[in-house]
Amino acid sequence: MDSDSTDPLRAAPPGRTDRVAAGELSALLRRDTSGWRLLRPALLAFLIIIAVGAAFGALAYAVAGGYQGWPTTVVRTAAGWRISSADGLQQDSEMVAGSSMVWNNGGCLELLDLGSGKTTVLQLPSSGEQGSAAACLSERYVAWTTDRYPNDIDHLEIRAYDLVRHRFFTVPGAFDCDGSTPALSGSLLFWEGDRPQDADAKHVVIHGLDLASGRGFPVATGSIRLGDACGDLVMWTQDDGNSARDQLTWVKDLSSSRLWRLRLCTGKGYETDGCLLTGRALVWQLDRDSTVTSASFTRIEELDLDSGVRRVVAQGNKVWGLSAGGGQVVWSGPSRAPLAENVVGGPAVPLPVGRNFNGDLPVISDSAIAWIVDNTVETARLSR
Amino acid sequence: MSRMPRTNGAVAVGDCLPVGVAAADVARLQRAPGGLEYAYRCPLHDADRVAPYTPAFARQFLTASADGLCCCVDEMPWSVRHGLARSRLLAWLLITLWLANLADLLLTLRAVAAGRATEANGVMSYFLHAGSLAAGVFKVGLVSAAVVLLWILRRRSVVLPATAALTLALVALVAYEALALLTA
Repeated sequence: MDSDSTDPLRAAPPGRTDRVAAGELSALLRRDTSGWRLLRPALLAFLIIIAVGAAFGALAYAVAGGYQGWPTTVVRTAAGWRISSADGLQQDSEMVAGSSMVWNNGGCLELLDLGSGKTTVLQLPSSGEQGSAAACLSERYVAWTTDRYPNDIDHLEIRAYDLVRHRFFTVPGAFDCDGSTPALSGSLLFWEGDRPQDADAKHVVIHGLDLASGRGFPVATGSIRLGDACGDLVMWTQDDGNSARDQLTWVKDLSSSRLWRLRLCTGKGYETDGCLLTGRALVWQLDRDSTVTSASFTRIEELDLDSGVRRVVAQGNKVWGLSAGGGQVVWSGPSRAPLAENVVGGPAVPLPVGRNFNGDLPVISDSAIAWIVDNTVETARLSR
Repeated sequence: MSRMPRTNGAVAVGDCLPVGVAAADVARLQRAPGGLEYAYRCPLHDADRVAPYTPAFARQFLTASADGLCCCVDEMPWSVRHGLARSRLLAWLLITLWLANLADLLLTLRAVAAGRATEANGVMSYFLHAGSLAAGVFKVGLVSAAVVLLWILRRRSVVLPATAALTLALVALVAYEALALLTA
């Protein structure tokens, strides 16, 4: 018993009605049961719950962030940027266009502004089997395929990021994409749609969409595969037999509706390995068919679509390709140092990739190149 | 013990004194040979009880009265024993749950729009694809209904720990999302 608590009542004579004593007793009760005293246990429990929750969240973020290998670190170098992460980049399929670079870091799609060095995470690794996003890049947009719903690889969609307005959006009408890599040229997006119902299993539709105007249009249908896009040109391949040698390559000029039907692999014992558009030219790599001979030999060829002039850019048993962009074709020779040459012709010039270049061909745009060194990506500006 | 009449603020010291709004009709503070004592009717046992007055018991009595729990000395629940106002704590947790749910919605919309996250919940993913408004109405509506239901069922012993666990989980999620958005 708290003796202080009894004082007011003891002070009052028994049976006496005394408003003053009653007031004192009320004050005692108010003191003993003050708001703060009643509040304290509940407030303490509440704050502990909130603090533990926040701590769990922070811990989960630290663990998940470390596991996914991001955020990445971007450091300025003399020529451009070096991108790395504490766990090493699980990097592949980097691409550059204009002043932007996009790379796939273990399924995490990231964007680097080559001017400011600012990175943006475009897409986190999918929890579904789709795994990594198949992406494409132009000077204005990035686009990539992704699961429409988590863990549902049967429903894909194409997401895009506007590099100028810094805005993400879902590409309208692309819910039929089949998961293969789309192609971008400026604001023109191309993708392979699912085959129509009841159609032949090899019947594929290539769709086109102007992301700026929202105007959609069909490009081609058939037993085809979307290739590349550049300017007003879009390229796709068509199986015409059982081997790469029998493959037909189609290029369409969307501005004039002119169509080129090309058979790139004309030499016996060769097969096509990579075909790209840059400028108004088509460049491709021919490898000696490994089933015919074990001796390697590579030939890189180029076709100027407007003039029809076809020429060999490089060839040899120690030639590796192929990369193209910004009106240039890139390959490497016996020294493994990458060389670039304008598709309109001219001397091949070495690219500024630094001394620790390990031989993987850089990707190129009209103003920048990017290449992999061990587990990092490096970029450099190109002076024209 | 009979019900104590309303006194309009004028009380007779030594006869009775209202000891709290919630308890005013069922308890009184009265003199006893050893000092003061509470005389009250336990709502759970439906029996008249007397307990010596201490400041701690005054708080326990108010806590028990507010939560509709027993405050008999040997039988009071741990929350009453520690003066933990379950209803008050539950109210704060439910408000926090509702606000954290709103924060989760806004952060998720922002993270998904920024491409930094995908909605892992299949049901919410469906509504997100239907639009931000649909997702917001569904999520806020569902949680608001749950909050109201939990408040209605607040007398059940399982409600407070369940609400605490839900709130803790949602606060953890919001902290995770906020960190991801701030640092990515």
